[in-house]
Amino acid sequence: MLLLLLVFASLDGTGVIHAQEYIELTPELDARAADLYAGIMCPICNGQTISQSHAAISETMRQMVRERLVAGDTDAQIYDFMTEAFGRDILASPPKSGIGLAVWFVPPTALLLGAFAVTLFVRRLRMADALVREGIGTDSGSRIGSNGGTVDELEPYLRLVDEEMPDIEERP
Amino acid sequence: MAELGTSAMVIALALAVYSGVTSLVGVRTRNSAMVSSSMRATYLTTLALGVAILALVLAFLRNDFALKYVAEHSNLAMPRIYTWVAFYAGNEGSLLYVAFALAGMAALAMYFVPRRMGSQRPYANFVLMLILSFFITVNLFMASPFATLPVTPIDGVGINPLLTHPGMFIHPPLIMVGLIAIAVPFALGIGGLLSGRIDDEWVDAGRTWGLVAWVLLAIGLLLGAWWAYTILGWGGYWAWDPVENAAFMPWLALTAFIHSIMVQKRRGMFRLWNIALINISFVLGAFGIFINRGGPVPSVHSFGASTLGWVFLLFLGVVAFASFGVFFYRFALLRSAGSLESALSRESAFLVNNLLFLGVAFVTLWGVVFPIISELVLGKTITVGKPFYDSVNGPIFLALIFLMAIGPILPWRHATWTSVRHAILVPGVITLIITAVVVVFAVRNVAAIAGIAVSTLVAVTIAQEMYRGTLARHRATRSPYPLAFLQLVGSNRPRYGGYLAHVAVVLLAFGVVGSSFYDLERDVILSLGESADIGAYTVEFTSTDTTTFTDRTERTATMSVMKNGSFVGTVEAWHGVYPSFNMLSTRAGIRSTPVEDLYVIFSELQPDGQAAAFRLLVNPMVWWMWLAGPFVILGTVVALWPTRQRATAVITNPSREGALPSGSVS
Repeated sequence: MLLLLLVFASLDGTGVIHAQEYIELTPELDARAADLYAGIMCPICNGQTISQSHAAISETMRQMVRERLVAGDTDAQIYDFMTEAFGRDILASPPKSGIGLAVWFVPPTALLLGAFAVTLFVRRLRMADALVREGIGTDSGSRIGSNGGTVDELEPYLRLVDEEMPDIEERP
Repeated sequence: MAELGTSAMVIALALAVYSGVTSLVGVRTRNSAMVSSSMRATYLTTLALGVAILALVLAFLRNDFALKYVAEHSNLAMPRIYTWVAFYAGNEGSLLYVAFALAGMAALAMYFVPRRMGSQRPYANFVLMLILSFFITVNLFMASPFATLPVTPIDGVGINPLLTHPGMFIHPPLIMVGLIAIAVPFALGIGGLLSGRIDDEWVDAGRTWGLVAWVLLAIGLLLGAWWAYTILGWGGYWAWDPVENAAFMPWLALTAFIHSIMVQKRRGMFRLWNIALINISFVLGAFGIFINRGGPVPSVHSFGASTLGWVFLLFLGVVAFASFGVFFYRFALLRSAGSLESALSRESAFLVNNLLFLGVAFVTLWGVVFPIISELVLGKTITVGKPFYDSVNGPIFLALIFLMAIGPILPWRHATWTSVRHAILVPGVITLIITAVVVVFAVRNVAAIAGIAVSTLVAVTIAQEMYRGTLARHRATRSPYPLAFLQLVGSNRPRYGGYLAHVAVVLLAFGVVGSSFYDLERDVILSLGESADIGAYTVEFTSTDTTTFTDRTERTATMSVMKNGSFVGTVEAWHGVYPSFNMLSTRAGIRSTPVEDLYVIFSELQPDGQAAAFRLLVNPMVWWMWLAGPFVILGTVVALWPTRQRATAVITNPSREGALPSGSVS
């Protein structure tokens, strides 16, 4: 195995769509077709959608999608039609039901928990700061206020940039 | 050649083991002679592995088919230049390459690490040599490129035709070296912990090597995307393929790390967290190597079954267990100095940054791992593909880009709402105007609008920062503007290097938004002389040309392109049919402009030779994405450029241990 994106294609020719049978779509349907192709896996290729794959079966499946589009099906109907024909494995992402629910809802939950943890952490650090302040009185005067009313409004910014420099210089 | 290569690898293994053991024993017994001896052994490991590499290259060049690896990956007809690619076309050669890269970086790191790191240095060396010994052992005993065949074949199998592309010269080696490079900052962090010295000395070297691994992976990933886009013939550049993800996740964790480490560098905070982050990065790197070299999941990168899956899984397990074991063992020592003065500060912005980057990494890991779990536990095959990643990671990326506008303008320690308002006012107004224009003229959907808005906000914020800074410098020093700008950048390289990298992200974001939401795609069948319209373009199939070679048939379709009715040029779409490999390889015809790419894929010629199937795409703004590469490199160079202060600090701050000689060169 290699770090490669490869195009594997079956060349048996059975999937060749002849010009006469090829269904051409309107631009609107073409746009929908492109999204549908990207949601359906090629059943015989390693990790490629029918949009990516050059295999004959993908060609056939794309043609099937086009047929359903011309017939006026909705996207959901087309997915149902394709999974009926090729099995649920061909969906590029699991449906939001059954075991698929876990796939979709665990990451947002984890992110929320992470956000909660960060909030707690910040609060703890803030409390530590409050204790420090009680101990030493006022803080070290490092606040950068805004005095937009001064003659030179760039002055605070310059101070900010300069203030960052000693920090760097004092650290080896 | 087999004997030379094998001997060199045995010597390298002996040296690595010796170096690891003497480092540990030397530092435990405070024997400085032993420690400097271990360092010399580290340097020599690189040399020994270099000899092994040379032996394998020579074997390829001399068509030494007695070697199984050479016979499997080259043949007499292979142009010599492809030796470079054939070298890492299989596990055996690529592991040797990974071992050599690790040894080289370990030697460089140990040589350049400040002597003041004292006992942390030998501990870091110990960790690196442990990892290196593992790779050499696997390489030598389980997947040796120097294994010989009982009978020497007359000719080799040959190189896979799809490998013989310039893109293959840089992308795979960069990813592999990037993944293993994480071992260096990891070893510096864990080495520091093992030594029991929990001060911030590892931070500078850790940040430097973290950035090195980060930029290697970034460029490797970008090149992979570029290669996929130009060669694969499906019009995309990123497919959320498991192997892509495996290289992307450690990069995400490293991105969190190189931000978070700045907080420790500047404020002495987040000690615990930074060690955790570099641990996570390396564990994800080990996971990347497992997915990449062990082959547990179906991927378009799949190239044949690997027998080493369990070895790398074991490596992953040991790395995860050991790194967090050490972490919790020294947990009590890692209390942070400092406290947070305000929730509105650079420090908290970095925390949110870390949360979001790890969020993307988690989502991606979940998507890669879930199908494996489902297969093993439930026996159900599930694909977790692009639609999942796009809809879950998309919003997190949006939040990250938004943070990229806010975070850098927040000062350390404490910001006030007034100062934030002051900094964000002009960019905010400009962004609103541009977004309004986009909404009126080119509305697609909410995601596209949000993407454009946040990316614009970042771009304008960076421009304003540069402008204000230069103006302030100019007023202060009276230098002319260009000089003032350079002085500004020089005054705080990490900051302005970071801005350059942020520019790269903005370029990528615009490319992704443009090509994901504003792309056009059509599948058509055209007879010679026929034309099809896509967007403003009319593409005419003017001629086709077939050349048959012994191993392949190449076909080119020439298309003449009209834009808004006037002729703008021709594009050539190519494909090659390889009957012996049962493969079709395509190279798209691309007319690239900063506004949009016209992209033509020549899918197949009809049996009558008079008509052909094409896929036509218009991909807006993809051009900008490739520009991100130079910005990432430039940003990293600026951020890493050594400052004079640091050099003097090393001299005036001699090793506290006082034991380690400074001239331990091999």
